[in-house]
Amino acid sequence: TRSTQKESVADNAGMLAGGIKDVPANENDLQLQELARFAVNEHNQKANALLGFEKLVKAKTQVVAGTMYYLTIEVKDGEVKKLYEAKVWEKPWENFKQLQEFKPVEEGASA
Amino acid sequence: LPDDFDWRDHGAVGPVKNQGSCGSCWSFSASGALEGAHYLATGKLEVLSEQQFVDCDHECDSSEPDSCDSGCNGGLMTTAFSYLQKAGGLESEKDYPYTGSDGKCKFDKSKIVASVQNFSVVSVDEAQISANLIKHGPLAIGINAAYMQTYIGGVSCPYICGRHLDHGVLLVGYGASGFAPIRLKDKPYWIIKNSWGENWGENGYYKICRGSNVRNKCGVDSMVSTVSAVHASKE
Repeated sequence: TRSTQKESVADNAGMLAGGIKDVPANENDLQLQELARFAVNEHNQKANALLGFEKLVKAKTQVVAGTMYYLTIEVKDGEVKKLYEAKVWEKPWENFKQLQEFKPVEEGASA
Repeated sequence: LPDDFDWRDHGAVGPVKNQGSCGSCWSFSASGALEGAHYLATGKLEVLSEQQFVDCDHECDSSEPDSCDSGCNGGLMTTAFSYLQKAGGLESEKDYPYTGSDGKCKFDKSKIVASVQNFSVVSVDEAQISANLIKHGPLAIGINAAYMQTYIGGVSCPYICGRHLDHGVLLVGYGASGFAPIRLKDKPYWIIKNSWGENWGENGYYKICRGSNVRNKCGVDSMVSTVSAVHASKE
């Protein structure tokens, strides 16, 4: 069991329960892509905007009651490309999905 | 050890709560363990506060100085117990209710209803975990929550589940045999109290495969801690 113990310690190093962690924002991850599109659509409806989804740049997840997704999304505002940060809360067992935040990435903030 | 054991049958487990959109699972796991330990020490079930941890506990792990309890951005149950030892104890849910977001610390020492006497980490061994569960009450444990997202009922027995822990829950019991839908047969299981409300899972509870021969237990046996409460309760 010694190796198992070592392994589990290594796995959990620096890890907080309920912490926010990076996930690869892989273009083939359909679930993340879909959430990013959902965020842009929701924002367009709420803010009467016409942003177009370009691509998902970065993704982080957090276990809450369900999952909180922190998505950095590239959108097209007319001809101008812009970066936005979206926060989407999902509870699969309730079929619940909600856009919590949608705001431009501030200039000079970490890419 | 008995074949089946459930602290809910012995009155040591409080109501199922809901952490909402906040990453405060660790505080629910810690308060749940102390609710049980306090019941074992005093015979009285006090429903305890999570918000006190969220607002006031910024304790860091002694071996991982970058891992500090951070309210809605996560924390650890062992550091939460360590915070309680320094602060003196925990208020009740009623006196320091849950808001689901980070706030200013409003801890009032005169309102402490439960205090930690001692806490320790239980080794990675199922027999020891069961023995500790029965001796000390419900245990604060870490888990990989991937399969909890889509859980409906029965014994969850995934073929592949990550070992890295991202969620804190409360181990309240175990059973010898329960139906595992994806395996189409009965399996021994742990009984886990979650903090995602009563509409989730089996009235807020989760059953996950148990047994030394079971792989992929979602890390259930890798971060287990036990707490004991101070006997004298202030009246």
